[in-house]
Amino acid sequence: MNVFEGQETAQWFRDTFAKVRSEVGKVIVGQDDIVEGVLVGLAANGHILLEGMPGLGKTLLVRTLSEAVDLSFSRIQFTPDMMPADVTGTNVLASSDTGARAFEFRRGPLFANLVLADEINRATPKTQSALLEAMQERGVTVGGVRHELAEPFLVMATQNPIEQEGTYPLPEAQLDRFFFKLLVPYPTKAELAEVVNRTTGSEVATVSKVAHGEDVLKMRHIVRDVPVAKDVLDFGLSIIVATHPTGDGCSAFATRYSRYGSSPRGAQSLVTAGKIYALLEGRYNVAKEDLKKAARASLRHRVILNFEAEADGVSTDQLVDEAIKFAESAQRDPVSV
Amino acid sequence: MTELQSKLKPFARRVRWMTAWKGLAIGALVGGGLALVWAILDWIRVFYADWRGLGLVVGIATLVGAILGFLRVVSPSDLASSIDTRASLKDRVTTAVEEPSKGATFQEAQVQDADKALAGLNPAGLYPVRFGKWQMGAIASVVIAASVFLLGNSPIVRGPKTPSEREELKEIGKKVERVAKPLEKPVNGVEVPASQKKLASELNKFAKELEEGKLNKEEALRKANDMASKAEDEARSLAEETQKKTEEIETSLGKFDKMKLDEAGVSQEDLAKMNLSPEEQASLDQIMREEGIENPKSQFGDKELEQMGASRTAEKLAQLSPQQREQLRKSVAKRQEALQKEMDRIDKLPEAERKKLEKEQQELMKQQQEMQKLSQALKLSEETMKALRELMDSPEMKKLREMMAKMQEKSQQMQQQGKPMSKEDMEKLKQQLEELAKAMKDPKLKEQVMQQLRDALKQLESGQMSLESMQQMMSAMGMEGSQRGQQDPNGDPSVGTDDNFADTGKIVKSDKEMETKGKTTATRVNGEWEDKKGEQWSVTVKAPTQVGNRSSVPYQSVMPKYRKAAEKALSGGKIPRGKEKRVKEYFESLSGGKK
Repeated sequence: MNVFEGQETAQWFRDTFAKVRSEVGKVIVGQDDIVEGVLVGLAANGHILLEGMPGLGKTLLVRTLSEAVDLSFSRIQFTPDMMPADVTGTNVLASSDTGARAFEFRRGPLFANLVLADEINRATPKTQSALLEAMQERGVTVGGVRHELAEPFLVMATQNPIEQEGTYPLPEAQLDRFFFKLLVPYPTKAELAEVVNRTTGSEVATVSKVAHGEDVLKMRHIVRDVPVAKDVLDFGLSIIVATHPTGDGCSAFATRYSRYGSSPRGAQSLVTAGKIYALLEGRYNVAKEDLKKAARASLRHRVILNFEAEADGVSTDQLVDEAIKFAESAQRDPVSV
Repeated sequence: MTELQSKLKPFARRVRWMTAWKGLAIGALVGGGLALVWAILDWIRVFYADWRGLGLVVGIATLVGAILGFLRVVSPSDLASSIDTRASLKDRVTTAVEEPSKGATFQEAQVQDADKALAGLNPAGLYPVRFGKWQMGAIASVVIAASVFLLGNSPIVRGPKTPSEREELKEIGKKVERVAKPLEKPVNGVEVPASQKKLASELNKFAKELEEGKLNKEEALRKANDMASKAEDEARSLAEETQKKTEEIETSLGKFDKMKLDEAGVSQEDLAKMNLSPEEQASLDQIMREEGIENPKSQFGDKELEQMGASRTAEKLAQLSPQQREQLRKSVAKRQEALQKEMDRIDKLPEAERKKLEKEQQELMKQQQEMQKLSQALKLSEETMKALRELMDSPEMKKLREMMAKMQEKSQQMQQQGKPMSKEDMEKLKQQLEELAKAMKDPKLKEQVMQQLRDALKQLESGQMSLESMQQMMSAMGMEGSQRGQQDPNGDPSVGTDDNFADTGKIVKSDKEMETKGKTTATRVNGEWEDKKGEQWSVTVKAPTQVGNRSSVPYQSVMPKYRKAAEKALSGGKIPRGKEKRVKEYFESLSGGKK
C-alpha cells in the first residue's frame, strides 16, 4: 500500500470515529472521555465495563451509539432472579404448520450487536458467567448446538458502586474479559445545565446513522495494521510488569499495595487501545504517550489491591499511575552525551 | 540506503562528535584522578612526579577517552529513539527505522511522517555542546591534582627552611646527578648489571629530591647514609661473587694442570707421597730454615692444587734446585740417624729408667716417622718435578695466576674495607686481560678460563663503580672519603663530622622521631640534653669500626677467613721469619689453642 492509501485509510478511520462521536454528542452532554472510551472499545473489538452512579447517562450512551452506528441494540436489566437462559436464549417446543412439534431455539437478548448489560453485578454468578462466556466465545451453546453471535458484537456492562447489598461483585477472571473499565463521572455544572435544558425542553435530538456494522469491522481491521516499535512495546510491557507484586520489573509501590497484577489481556488491551489513540492523533505509529493514555482504562479492573492498599486508601488508578512512573523512570536517552 | 537512513546521517555524525566530547571529559576525569593519585604519592614521597609527567597522564587519558568516545557505535535504533526523546517526536523515527512487515497499511505513510518530522530538526540544536557533569568533574579533578602537586612541592609546606639551604641542596643534587650518569652507561658495549642500574636510578631519584627541595639537609644526609650503606653491601656481595669466580677459575686451571700432568705421565701415587700433615710440613719448613734454604713463593692456588691432586710440598720441592733437594735429603737422613741413635740409647737403658723416659721415647718415634715421610717426599721423581715446573714456568699460566692474585686481592679489599679499586688498577686489570687473551696459545685453556675471567672482572668493576659513585656522592654532600656520617644539621662541627657511624655516644639533635634504614638501630635514651629534658632519640649506625671504637661485627664470623689468609701467608713465606710465631700464637689464642 502506498503513502496515499495509508493516509486515506487513516483519515477515513478518523472521520468515521469523529462522525459517530459527533452524533453521540448530540444526545450525550459532556462525558467526552467516556464516549471516546466506548468508541475505542467498539473499534478495538473489546467489551466495556462502565461504572458510575445511576442516572449519569450510561444506558442512553449505549442506545445512542447503536442508533448512530446502525447496529441492533438490546438491553438486559440484571436482577438476582435472572437465569442464564434469560440472557442467552433457550430451546422451546414449537409446533409447525403441519402440526409437527419440535424444539426450536428462541434467541435471548444477547443476540444483538450492542448489548447493554445493566447492573451486571445484580445477577447471580451463574448468570454473569453465562454472559461473560458468550462475550469471550462470541457465541452461545444451548442444547449442544452452538449459536454464533452477531458481528460486530459489543457488550457494555454497567455497575454502580453504591447499593452493594444484594449484589454479586464480578470475579477477577471475568473482569479481565472487559477491554476497558470506564468510570463515569458526575457532569460539571455547565454540563448539568445542558442536560436539564435538553431533557426538559420541547426539542428532541435526533441521531442519524453515520456508520454501519461493516464500518466497525473495517475499523477493527485497520487498527491491527498500526505498527508498534519494539521500544514502545517494551515500555508498555514494563507498565504491565510494574503492576505485579513480585518478579523482575515489579515496582516497589506494587510490591506494597498490589495483590495481583495485570494479566496478558491487559497488555493486549493496552497496545490495541494505543493503536487507536495513535490513529486518532493523526499518527501512523504507537507512541509511549498513547499507551500511557490507555493505561488507566485498560488496567484499573485488572489489578487487585491488597488490604494495605485499602487501608491506606490507595486506588487502582494510583497503582497504575505509579506503574507508569516506574516504567518511565527506566527510560533513558540511549545516546547520553 | 533508504531516504530516512540518509537523513539520519547528520545526526549520527553529530552524535559521534558528542560522544567523543563526552569521552574526552571522562578520559580527562580519569587522567585527573590518576594524576591526583600520583600527586599524593609525590607528596608522601613514594613516587615522584613532575609537571610533564602529570600533564602526560592527563593528556593521554583525555586522548584515549576522546578516541574511545569517537569510536563508540550507536545503533540506528538507539539514535532514532534518542531523536524521538529529545525532539518529542512520539516514537515516529524509532518506529520508522525498524523493519516493518512488508505491505503493511501504514508502512510508507509512517516512514514519510517520520521523515517529515526529521526535516525540521537541526542536529546541532538537538545535541548541543554542553558543559555537563563529566566536563565539570574533569576540570575539578585536574585542578585538584594540580593543587595537590603544587602544595606538596611548596616550600611553605615542606622542604628546606632557607633559600640558601635550598640552593645548596640543589647544587648537591646536580652533583649527585652527575655521579649517577656513568653508572647508567654501558661500558665497552657491555650491558650495565641490574644492581648498578638500580643504584643509578636511586641516585637519580635522590638527586631529583634534592633539586626539587623535597628533602631538608638532615633527611638528605640520612638518605645518603642509607644509600651508601646499601651500595657498600652490594659492592661487598659483588666482591664475594668475584672471589667465588676466581675460585672457579682456579678449579678450571687445576683441571687443566691435571690434564697436563697426566699427559706428562705423572702418577697420582707419586704426588700423593707429598701430602704432608701440617706438623710434617712445619718440620720441613724448620729443616729448610736451618739449612738456609729460602722458602719458595707459592705459585698455585689452593683450588688449583686440589684439582691437580698435588700439595704445597710438591709445589715447594719442585721449585728447589737439585742441589737444595740433595741438601735437604742429607739433612733429613742425618736427623733420622741421630734420632735412631737416641732411640737405641734409650732401648739399652734399664727397665725402670726406660719407663721414666717412655714419653720421650714416643716423641722420638713420632719424629722418626715424620722424618721417614719427609725422606719419602724428597724421593719425588724427576719427571713429576719437571712437569710441575713446566706448569709453574708457563708464561701464560704465570700471567693468568698474577691476574687472579690481583683480582683476589682487590675483591678482598672491597669486602673487608669497602674500598673501591682505583680507576688505574681497573684499567690495568682490563689491559692484563686483553694481553692474556692475546697471549693464550692453548685453545683448551682459553676456552676454560677467559669467559670466567671476563665475568669476574665485570662484577669487580660494577662493585668498584658503585663504591666510587658513593664516594663521589658523599664528597658532593661534604662528607669526605669513606668517613660517612650524619652531620649536625645545626652546623656543630663536633657532632657527627667524622665517625658517627661508630656510635661515639654523641647524639644528633632531632626534634622528631625518625625512621632509620639500613644497618641502623634507633634507641631511646633518657637524660638531659641542652635545653630540653626527657626522652631523646639517638641513632646507632653499624658500620666498619675505626681504631679505638667497638666493632659491630662479631669476630667469630670473620675469623675463619682471616685465619685462612694468615695460614696461606705463612706457608707462602710472606710473613717475616721473626713474626711467624707471633702470628701463629695470635690465631691460636683466638680459637682457644685450636686450629
